[in-house]
Amino acid sequence: MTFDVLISALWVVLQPQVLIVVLLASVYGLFIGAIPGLSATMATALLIPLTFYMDPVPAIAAIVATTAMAITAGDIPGALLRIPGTPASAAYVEEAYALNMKGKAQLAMGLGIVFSAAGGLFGALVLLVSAPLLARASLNFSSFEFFWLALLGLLTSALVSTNAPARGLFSLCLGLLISTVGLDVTSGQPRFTFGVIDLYGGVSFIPTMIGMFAFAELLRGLSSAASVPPVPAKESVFSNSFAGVWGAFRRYPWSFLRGSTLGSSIGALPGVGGDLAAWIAYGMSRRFSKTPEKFGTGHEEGLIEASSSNNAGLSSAWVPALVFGIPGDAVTAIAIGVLFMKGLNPGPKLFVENPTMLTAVILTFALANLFLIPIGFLAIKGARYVLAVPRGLIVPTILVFCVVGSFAINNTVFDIAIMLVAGLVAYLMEANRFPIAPVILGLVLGPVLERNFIMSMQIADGNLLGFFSRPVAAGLGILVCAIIVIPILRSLATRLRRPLS
Amino acid sequence: MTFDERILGLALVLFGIAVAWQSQAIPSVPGATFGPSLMPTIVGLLMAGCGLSIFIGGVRAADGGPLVDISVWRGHRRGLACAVWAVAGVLVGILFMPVLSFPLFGVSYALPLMLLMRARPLPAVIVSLVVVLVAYFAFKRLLYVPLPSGPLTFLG
Repeated sequence: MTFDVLISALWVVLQPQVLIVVLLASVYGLFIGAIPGLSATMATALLIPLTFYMDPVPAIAAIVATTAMAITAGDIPGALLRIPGTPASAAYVEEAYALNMKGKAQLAMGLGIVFSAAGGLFGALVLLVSAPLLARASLNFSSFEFFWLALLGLLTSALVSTNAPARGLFSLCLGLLISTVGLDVTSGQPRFTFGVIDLYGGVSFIPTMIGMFAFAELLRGLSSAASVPPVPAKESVFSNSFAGVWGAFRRYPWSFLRGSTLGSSIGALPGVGGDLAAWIAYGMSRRFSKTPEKFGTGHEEGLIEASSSNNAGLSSAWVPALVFGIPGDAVTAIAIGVLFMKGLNPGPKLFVENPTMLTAVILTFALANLFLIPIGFLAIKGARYVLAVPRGLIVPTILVFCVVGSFAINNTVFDIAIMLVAGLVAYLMEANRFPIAPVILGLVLGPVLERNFIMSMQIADGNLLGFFSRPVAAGLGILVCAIIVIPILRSLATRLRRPLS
Repeated sequence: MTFDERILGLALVLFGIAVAWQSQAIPSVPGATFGPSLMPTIVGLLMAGCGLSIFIGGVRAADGGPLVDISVWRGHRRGLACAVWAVAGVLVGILFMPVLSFPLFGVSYALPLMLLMRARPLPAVIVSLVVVLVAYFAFKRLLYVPLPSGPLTFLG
């Protein structure tokens, strides 16, 4: 990429039309993301009809800005109501909520917004500078590596989210089981559909997430078990929306760098996407922390690392999407469709044929993340009003959005039923100390895991040692085995030591 | 509502076995060694294993507590009524929203719940109407989601 191309691309991005689109898309993303249960993917999907009327750069800018803002705004209900806006923010929702319960809601949201923006800028830089290198490395990956990566993410979520591994593992298995419902992609055989036509396409992810995280949470809130977060005083909490953020950065600079680097690396892997990054980042932060016991009690360290990785992964998920046309996640899959509609086929040729346009698309990531700070500031200010609204008004309002949000995915009331069942199941699970987040991750990554598992089994002809036949796969495999074996050995060692003491 | 660990563990073991058993009924593809039943079978067996672990933990830590504990709702009749309304209302929506229209369903669902939750009547009426209409027009007009309008054809 030459300097001239960069300047031309910058000129394209700074056009008033693009700036206005980014601003409006950010506000829209904020609106959708801040409403519990409405996800960034849904916001993006619903935006697509509008992008028909736009040029390629503003169209992609709108998608990028909406996604970045919706994901970041998803941290707000996460911190205030313990309802994550996205699967990625589910990784650290407990931590953010615990900070809120300590009366530090502003710090939780401020950390989320600033480190999301900083991580997003980091990811944009990675995308701009080293996209071809990262994509080339991930291109060499086979189903073995993808299988291990998916399993690593799933196990991390199951083990990080609870102190009871059996419960975490069961939640994960439930998510994997739900992901198998519907027609099997490879064989076309129906699985667990019980003759219900609406299930042939599988269990919709977004209604399930709305049910498990929003509806169940609201039910829990109606019982005596709910602890209502303290409503902080305006002066003490919302006087400076970003107070304490700089101090947190100075205390944990490595968390930011590690999270951003990890997010960029994982997000760039085709088919993996950015969601996994936040889970692994949170798990890694806990592992490397000097104070792991503080995790889950409202500790800033994990929040910084996961927030940074979240948006860094979001940007770098576009590396394989733009360079090779392989989507990293649902949002990039939608965006690739938009590029095709505009007559632009993502791939290496596009870098040669239209480098200015492609560079401009990449620069919109930086722009969208820069917009996060002022709009995020307004979001935090607005969040105060959410806390001030009587609970009797806000709970039914959220329930109405749960219903309409579930309906809007496939325009069918069947998805409302999925939301209801998922909500009731999640309520019972949580009451019995089963973590919910692994269910969602199992549901999202289940197809990735299964596809790569079956493919790897066929390649290795059923020989499990084949999963370790490639160097990177062997490294990842050993890491996964260590994650499984080390806690078991620790538990055994503790039991053996106990009688002696 | 919480269950005794032994009951819970046993139920999960049975559920896992049922999943693994049902997976065997999934037809395999001729010639394919690893068919569509492999993954659900593994998942079912893992679930049964987790259930067994919870059951064993429950047997070890048995303290003679109730098998099913609903104390969380005891003495909170209003909260229970709200929860029942929240669930039953959605059920009604699933069955009747296409006929009733989203705005009518939304208001008749949200307003009583607001009043049950001790919101003041006037704000409750205003907020429920505004929320439902904003959701309706935002999704229907701006986002092209075909929310049912039922008899309210004048809303478009």
